[in-house]
Amino acid sequence: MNRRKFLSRTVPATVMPALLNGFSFSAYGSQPGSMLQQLLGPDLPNDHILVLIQLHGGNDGLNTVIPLDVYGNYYTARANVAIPQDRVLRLDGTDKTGLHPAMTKLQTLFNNGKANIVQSVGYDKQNFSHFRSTDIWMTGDDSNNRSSREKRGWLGRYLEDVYPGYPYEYPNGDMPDPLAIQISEAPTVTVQGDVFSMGLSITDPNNVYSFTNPFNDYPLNSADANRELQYLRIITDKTKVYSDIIRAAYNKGANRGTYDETSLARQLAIVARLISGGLKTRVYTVTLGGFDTHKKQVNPGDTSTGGHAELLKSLSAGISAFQDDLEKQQLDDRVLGMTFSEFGRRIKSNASMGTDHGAAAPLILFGKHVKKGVLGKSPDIPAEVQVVDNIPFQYDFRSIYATVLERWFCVDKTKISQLMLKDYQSLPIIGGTPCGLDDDIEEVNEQADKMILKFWPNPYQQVATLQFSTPGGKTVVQQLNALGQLVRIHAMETYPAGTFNIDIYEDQLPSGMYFIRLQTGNLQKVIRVIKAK
Amino acid sequence: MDRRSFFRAQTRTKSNFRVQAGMQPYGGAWTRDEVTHLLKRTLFGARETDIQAFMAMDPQTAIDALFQPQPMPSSPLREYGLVGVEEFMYDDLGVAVGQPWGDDMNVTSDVQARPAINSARCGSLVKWMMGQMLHQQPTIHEKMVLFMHHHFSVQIGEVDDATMCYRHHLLLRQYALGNIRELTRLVSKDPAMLRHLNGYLNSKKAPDENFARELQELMTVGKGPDSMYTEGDVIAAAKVLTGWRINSETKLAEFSAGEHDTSTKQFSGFYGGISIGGGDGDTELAALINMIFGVKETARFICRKLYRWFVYHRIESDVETAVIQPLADLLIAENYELAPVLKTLLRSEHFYETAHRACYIKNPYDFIIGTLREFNVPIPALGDYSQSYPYFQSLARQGSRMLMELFQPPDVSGWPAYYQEPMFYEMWVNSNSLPRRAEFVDGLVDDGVIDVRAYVNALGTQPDVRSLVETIAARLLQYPLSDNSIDYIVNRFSPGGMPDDTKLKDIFKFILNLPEYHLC
Repeated sequence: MNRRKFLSRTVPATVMPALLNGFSFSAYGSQPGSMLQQLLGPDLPNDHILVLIQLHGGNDGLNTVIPLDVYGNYYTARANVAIPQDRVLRLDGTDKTGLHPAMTKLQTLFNNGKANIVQSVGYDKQNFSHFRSTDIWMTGDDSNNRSSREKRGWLGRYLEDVYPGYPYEYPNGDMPDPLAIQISEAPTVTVQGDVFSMGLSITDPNNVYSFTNPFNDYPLNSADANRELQYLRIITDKTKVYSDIIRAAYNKGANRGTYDETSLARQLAIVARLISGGLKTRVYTVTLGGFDTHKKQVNPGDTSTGGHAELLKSLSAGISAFQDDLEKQQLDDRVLGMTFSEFGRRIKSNASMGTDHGAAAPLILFGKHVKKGVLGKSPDIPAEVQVVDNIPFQYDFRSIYATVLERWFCVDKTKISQLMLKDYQSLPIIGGTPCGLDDDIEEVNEQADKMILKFWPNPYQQVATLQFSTPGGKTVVQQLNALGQLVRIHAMETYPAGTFNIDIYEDQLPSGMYFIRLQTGNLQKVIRVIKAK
Repeated sequence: MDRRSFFRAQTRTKSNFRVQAGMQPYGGAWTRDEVTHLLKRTLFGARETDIQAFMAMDPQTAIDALFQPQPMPSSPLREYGLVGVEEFMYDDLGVAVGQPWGDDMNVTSDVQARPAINSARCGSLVKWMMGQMLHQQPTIHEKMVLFMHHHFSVQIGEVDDATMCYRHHLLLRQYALGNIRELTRLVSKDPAMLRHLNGYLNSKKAPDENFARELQELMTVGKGPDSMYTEGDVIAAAKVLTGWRINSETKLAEFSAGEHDTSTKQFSGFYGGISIGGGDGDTELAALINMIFGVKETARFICRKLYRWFVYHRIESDVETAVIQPLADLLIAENYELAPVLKTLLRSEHFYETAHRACYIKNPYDFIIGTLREFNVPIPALGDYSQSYPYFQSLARQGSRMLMELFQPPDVSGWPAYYQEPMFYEMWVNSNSLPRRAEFVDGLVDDGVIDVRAYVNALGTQPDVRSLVETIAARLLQYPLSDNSIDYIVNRFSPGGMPDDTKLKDIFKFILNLPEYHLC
């Protein structure tokens, strides 16, 4: 391991511990203007990845997660499409709800604690238009005021906040890769920023695009034409730069999972391979279309088969293969997946063996760090369902977004309300480990104690060796002076699990007492060292 | 970062102070610039011969020329051979190879083969439409047919019937410059639309709201701030539309009174609290369409869509006042005839303002067909089916790869470049589609499909290489290149004087790949 250079960049706020082995750190570090305070600055992103699976067309939630505790009313409301009770797949820990029979792979994932379900996710004042409701899900803004409402996507806002100035000053050392990659023909609103999409659309990661254009003048006096020309120039430049990066990662990466020959599986395989290839890209989106099942959603002879069943099978198998791939490559620690669809479908089916546009529907999260279980109750289905009856939402979809930001991207609460436009509840759907939230203190302490942090000789003069261990992931080793001010950063990058040495040679620091501080995830450890004259 | 905020501030300021000329007739100069602007927006690319012809007219005559009536095209031809179903091959016994299939009902051949024959005809229809666009006359028709396709957004994959899609297309074609209210009424019971949005399943027992909703949201009143129809209106409209079925033999629409909801359908105050009933399908449909078109917002919504199709995507309050409202008033005054409205827009001061030049990102067919036409690439005749249909197919495939698949818009709302905020036209060009545009033009030049030498010869004698590059750029680009840019091209590709064929190809590829080339 090379000696770390002093890095004149910011330290993530999350590295700031409230306590430094029993000493109140704030007593030293938080005076305004202190070097540490300056260095804390804005959040530095973590390396967590979010994979969004869009179920295009409005997924029929009632036939995806079947309410066993109100099965009689469910059946009455939609006899021609209802899934037979004895075919519903059971889930560990609940007899109230089960999965569509085509989702055996997801059942296994769920029972292994790697997938969870949130019931009846939606929003107030459901808009039944595909277009508008998709916009609402992607922007998180359901206001009717067309001129003032948010046009940026929820992840576009997040990425724009973390990576200001994109795309002009990118790629760069802080973010050498695309911020978001959409496996799609065209960008979606989800990653739309103020002016630019924060995402890149690709369908073929091997694409070569080599055209360059050195011109940047705007001889025409037309604001609209110049706006469009500037867009085209940026896209031209960035397409070249990023297509090279993506291609390199794709060729370096690998797939170790077994994927079906479905469109979704192919998309997820590309995502896994790009992650495996080392891209630091934070968001990936993939799409599975065909959920607008107004008619022939099921086969007349066997309602557990048909178009919708095929889609759910593809979803379930795709997620499972993807998770397996990541696990085999030990990448699962960094990845969280989530499905969404613009709306669910009506409780009552129609005469065409299908279902019309509805309201709330369940949402699935998957990955190593999800909390096992089904959050929420089965939808309340009346005994006599009218054509217009819908499933009201139990959880606002933006609470899920807010929770992802908080517990996966480790964004602080104030920033979350800013990004989400207002406050939303935090839901127990993601474990505490990724962002160091809500974890058992005893357990954290125990883990921290196990980390190695040594420094010899101590006291030292010109030469010393620093040794530390990390469970893997973003790891920071800092040197603080007696006032708790940051004077050196010895390490700040993503490490594999293991023990590492850093050689220190003529560090130019005055003699005195220092702290060496190791921090990774929610773990930290501090030792004291003396520099002799 | 700085550059961006600077740029944004600049554009905001400019748009605030921009003079928005209104619908008064254009009275300025009538030069190559104005004519090229007009032709690039109303045709696929502007050919030199057309530019010359239109420059010789006055603006009034030029606009009238764009609206010259066009004959209806003849039917697509059977260009496909035997069709395979599992291990067997079947002939289409209804139509001989090279003969038109438009009037054949596909009932002659073996029952096993009919679905495959239908698929082959669907493919044939797509190629045929591509051929119509490639062979366009210097009139606005093909662009308006494509607009109607975007507006009603019927997907062949959903309809899955070549005859219905062909007839639907003829209906759009017939009314492309005609009466939009009448077209909307006819489309509402058109078999392709009945299939596409489930109208044929809509019954009093199980009303299907799919079409009733999209009719209002996407085709007439829209979802703008002044559109205030209710969920109740959607349900009521669905009931009005119950009972339309498709005759399986004729594939024509027919009204099945027994499936129709005969109750009185009450609409909200937004529609004047009208109620529709009586039980006759056609009468109720006409009443529904008249009710919807009786709302002024419908005219505004349609005019906004046309504005985005021909002028620019941003419609701020100044454009709303100076353009949309007067056009909407005109549309109503003209009893929903489109031609007078389009003519007024295209001959207005507003249309020719510098602010609206070169700001339109070419859609894939502006790009593909426009390039071929401007380079006078010979297009095989529709009748020469064995040559032309494969050619049309390959270009239609290019169009799909660039995000505009004919007969298959991405969803019920048409192509997002014409509605998706905030990017609009920018939706066409992204990191995925841009390389495809590049491959296309590079291929045309490299493979000699574009004869760059012939193009240059037609420009006449040029004193030097700089003047040559300048002339080429001026012809191909609506957005001008700066002197520095011209110098760069000269120095990079042909510093030693007039370019040889290889260097000339490089110059053309460079210009056709410039960001400026995507603008018109």
